[in-house]
Amino acid sequence: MYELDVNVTVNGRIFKRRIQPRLLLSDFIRHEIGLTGTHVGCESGVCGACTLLLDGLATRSCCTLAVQADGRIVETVESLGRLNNLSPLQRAFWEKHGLQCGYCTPGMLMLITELLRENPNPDRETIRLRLNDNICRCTGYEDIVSSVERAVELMGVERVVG
Amino acid sequence: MKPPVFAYERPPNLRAALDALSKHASSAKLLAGGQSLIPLLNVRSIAPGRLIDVGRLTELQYITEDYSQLRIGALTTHNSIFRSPIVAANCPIMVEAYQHVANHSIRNRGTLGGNLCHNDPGFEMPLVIALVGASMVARSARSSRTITAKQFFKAPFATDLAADEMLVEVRVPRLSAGHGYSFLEVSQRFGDRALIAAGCTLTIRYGTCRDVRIGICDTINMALRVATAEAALEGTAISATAIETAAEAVADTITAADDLHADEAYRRDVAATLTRRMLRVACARAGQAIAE
Repeated sequence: MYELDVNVTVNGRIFKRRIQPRLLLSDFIRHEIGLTGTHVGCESGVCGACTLLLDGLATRSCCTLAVQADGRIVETVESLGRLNNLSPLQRAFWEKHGLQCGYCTPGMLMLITELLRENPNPDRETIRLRLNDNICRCTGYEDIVSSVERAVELMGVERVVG
Repeated sequence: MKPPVFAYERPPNLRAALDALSKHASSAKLLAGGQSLIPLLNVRSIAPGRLIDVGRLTELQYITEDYSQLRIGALTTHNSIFRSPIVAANCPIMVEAYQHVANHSIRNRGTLGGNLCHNDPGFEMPLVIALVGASMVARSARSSRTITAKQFFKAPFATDLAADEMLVEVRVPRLSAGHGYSFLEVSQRFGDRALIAAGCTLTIRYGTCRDVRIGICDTINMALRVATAEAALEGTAISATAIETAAEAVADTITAADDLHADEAYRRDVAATLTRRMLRVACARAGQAIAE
């Protein structure tokens, strides 16, 4: 079997693995690293559930080969917060009911993590336009938009308070 | 599903990539951003023996201004072009069209070169390239040549590139000052595949339309310039009637797709409506507003 070595930094830790080049980044993260927060929906680039950050850019991990992440930096939903210590973005999704079944949520969170880094004060229209990337089959979009608006507030307060 | 087995290599520079391509031409595919290629591998529509990963060749990631044109490296990502002030200043129709290209996450990784080589008839960029008269620079280990848009886009999902050739640069003429332009699209939901996409550029000199270019993409047939509609406006005094004539010419000329998303009559109707709207926008931008 044709395999090669890759080094991928995931959430600040370097992982070295020997893999087949056909391995998708989504499967690398889930099966090789064991981080199952990244969900796999359509595996054809349509739904956005598998969105993570690759070198800081929102990326569909099912449309990316793990070898393409060799030597690069991946951030997954596990980098955001913990059950007893949610990040402001996660807290906002909780408060505003930004999820029902939760399947799309990790992808939504990572998509919006990128948005809020490049623009800490997006207006509702900007948020809606960016959320166009990902599908929520519980059709909870209004609450997701409100969750992001709430996250903007929480993060603003955090910046002021320090 | 998962991609089939393939061999993989990541050449360190363009020269090495062209050598690899020439060696494995019959069985290899170039991997740029992978946003079209990897979904195709996932559903096993294609099974190349080898992928040559050119996605990290920074020597093909650039946007520069020449005297009369922009040079865009084939591996420049969509979002780099979409957000480029140089492109906004010199080829604003490209930026306007980019609002409709896939979505943000895909534009983060997808490249202009990969998009044009895939030549999906639902893609907006081949239409823009055909409209503005851009040319494509192809290289192989043995030669280099420049290809016009008309020659490059052969058929849906097919280009003029030989198996050992790689698209390395796209040369986009500057839209000169005074040009009007517009790009509009109708899809079932924003960001979806277009039912109809339409673009135009023109100038108005002393009330007369010049250099009129009108293009329509119906997502099944290849994007094309609509010569009859262009002829209907070229050299005529701009007016609501002239715009209506061009819109009718579009509806009469195009072979619109007919599928479960929209039947042919509806697509023709949308094409005519978008033609009316975009010509009004382009005329206003060229300095002459036309009343309804």
